[in-house]
Amino acid sequence: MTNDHMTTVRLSIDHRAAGVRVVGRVLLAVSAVLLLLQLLPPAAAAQERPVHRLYDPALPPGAIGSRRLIANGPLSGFFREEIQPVELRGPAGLRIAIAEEGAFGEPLAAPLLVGMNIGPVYRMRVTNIPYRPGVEVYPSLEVIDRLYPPAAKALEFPIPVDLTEEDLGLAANGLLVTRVIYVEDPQQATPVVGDPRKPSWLDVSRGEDPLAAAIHLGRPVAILRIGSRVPDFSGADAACLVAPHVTYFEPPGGYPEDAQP
Amino acid sequence: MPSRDFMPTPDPLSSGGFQSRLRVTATPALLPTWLRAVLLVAATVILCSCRNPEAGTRQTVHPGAGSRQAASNDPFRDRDRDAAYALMKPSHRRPGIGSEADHAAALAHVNEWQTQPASPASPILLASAEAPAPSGAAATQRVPGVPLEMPAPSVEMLPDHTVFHDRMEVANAATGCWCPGCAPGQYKLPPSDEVLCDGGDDGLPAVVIRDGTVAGVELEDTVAHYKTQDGQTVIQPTNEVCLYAPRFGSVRQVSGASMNVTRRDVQGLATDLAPSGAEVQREVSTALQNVQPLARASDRPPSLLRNRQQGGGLENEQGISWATAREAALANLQSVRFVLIDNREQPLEVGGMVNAIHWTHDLGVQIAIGTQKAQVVAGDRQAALLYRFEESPEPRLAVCKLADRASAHPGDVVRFALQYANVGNRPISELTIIDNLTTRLEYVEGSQVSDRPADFSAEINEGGSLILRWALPQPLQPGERGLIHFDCRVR
Repeated sequence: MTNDHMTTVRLSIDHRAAGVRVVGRVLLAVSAVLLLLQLLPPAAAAQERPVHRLYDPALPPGAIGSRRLIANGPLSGFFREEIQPVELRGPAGLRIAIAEEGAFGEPLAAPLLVGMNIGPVYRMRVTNIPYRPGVEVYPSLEVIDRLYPPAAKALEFPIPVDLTEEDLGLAANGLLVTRVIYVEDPQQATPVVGDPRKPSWLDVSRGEDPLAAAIHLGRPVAILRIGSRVPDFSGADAACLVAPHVTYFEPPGGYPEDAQP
Repeated sequence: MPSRDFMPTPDPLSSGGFQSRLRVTATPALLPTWLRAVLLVAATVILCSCRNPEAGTRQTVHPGAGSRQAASNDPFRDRDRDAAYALMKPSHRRPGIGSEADHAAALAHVNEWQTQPASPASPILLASAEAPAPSGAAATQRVPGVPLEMPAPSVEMLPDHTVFHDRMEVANAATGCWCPGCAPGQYKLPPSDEVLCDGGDDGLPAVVIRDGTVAGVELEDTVAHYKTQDGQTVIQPTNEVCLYAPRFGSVRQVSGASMNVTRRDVQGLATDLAPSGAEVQREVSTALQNVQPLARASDRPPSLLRNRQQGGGLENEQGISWATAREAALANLQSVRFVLIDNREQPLEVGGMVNAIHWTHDLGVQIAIGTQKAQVVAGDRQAALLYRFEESPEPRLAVCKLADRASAHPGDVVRFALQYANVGNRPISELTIIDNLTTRLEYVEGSQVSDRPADFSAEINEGGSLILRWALPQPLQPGERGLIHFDCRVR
């Protein structure tokens, strides 16, 4: 095979077109990656646990309420000298003595309407438990948020804290009962008629976070811990008795007749 | 395989040109052109869309609530903002009938209506025992939990509240909602989880479909729709009524014996951290706590506080100081006291004279027909003056929703009232009022009463409550009004 003609072929390279092609391929690769990322399920979101950034169940009592005072939110404008009414309720005959200024106060019959500060931990000694003569349990209460009632209605709408007979019995048997009281979100409310004297509650297992569960249902306002360990006030537990002054109120409408012993 | 044919140009140096064809095979593309275009479009859409990374992990319950939930990671701040929106939210205004002046006129009309004595035909008197006190009384009221002298609000202290203060005033006046400690420059909003609101048109705006059904009436919405003389269908939401009715619950966790070991560990850590913990507690329990004037205020029952507000001496004090100040402005003039002319007092005297002229001089004849000022269309050069009065057709409906209390406990019965009035100048027809009750409000069977003939119906809504509907068969003439009231039990 021989060529009879010699042919000169001039091939010119368009550098601008080549640059556009490179950029196009880069864009194509980026587009493919973005599309892939959108199609894949977000791994971080799938592993995210429903917990609040300020809350951790491993924190010692008092830490959560103190953090709430620091955080900027609905507590803005709520000063430390202000108090949040709390109603301590329990079975008939129950006696509650709240520790303040280094010692337990006088045991008073439940229910009690008291004013507490947000942040510190209030220790209580509960006696006269039904069907358990001589048994004492030592709950601690931590108010972590406030309510916003209308003017002059604060005492009508306290935070209800229930020391139920069942919880007291569990604590007397050596268990630790933790209750997170929350304000229910109306958007997630169940269509049942509520009883102001018997708020609804639910149980979570040991591995779950009660704070996270309460946040999903509403806004936590108080944490109640009931245990039966007798504190050693001569030792490290002496600091447990250091709590602010407690203000005792008479309910505006008075207590119901069946509430008093 | 893609290929291209190149036709080389003939070389003039070659003998006689040629017709040979050179076949050059180009580099094969990775993806087809159409696929590349699709990828580019998809990437552009992704980059241009503002997607919330948490949107896929959150459950949207309500159109309005869903957008609130995805606002930030702090539920407290979101709910606080929700409260601002919930309480300040005015009724959705429709184009042409929702200007501020129209709204104010409708409110004035309703307020005037409310101040009229209750007629025997309307047995309910809504009210007011728990209505917010006047501003003068609120300034002297001592509220438990709210200090008497609040610091001046700042953006840092009241993050999202002061912005809406002015609109809140209007919203409160319209809805009857209270705001705790509500006084000019200071107030706190309850989070939306403590209040039950009903009324308005939240979320998607309500629309009337061609077949007569109404869409977009979600939970808590209350709207009225009617037809005008020219056949148009108009939707008018009511105001929003809020009740303070928090409902509490609790989450319990019982830890067993295994947790006792953990408790001992925690106790050991608490011992190590004791100095810091004690420091925090001392800060609370020191002089700040012992000297708390607010606690003293809270010790007093509300009845004492009310008694303190009722002193008539405050009003007398204000009246006397005001009268003294006005007299002093004129009595201290040298020309009045000693009949002496002082050049320094001339500006005051001249101002007083001008004021007197302004108060006594009639600048011209004002002519009004009805409540509308007439316009002069002819000059005074003619024998007679011609005034023209034009009345434009403005069908308008005012709907006001009220509640007989501002707070309630679960189990309490609250009476709601829907007052409607034709405040326009044309009759309206096919008036229908729809109230989609929120979950925590349970309609008391047989409690609804309407002072005008109305077809009442109720159906279950998605929140486990009811959608109440009143259809008025008779048209509503200008100036006519009606009243509907019903009871709901707070769940």
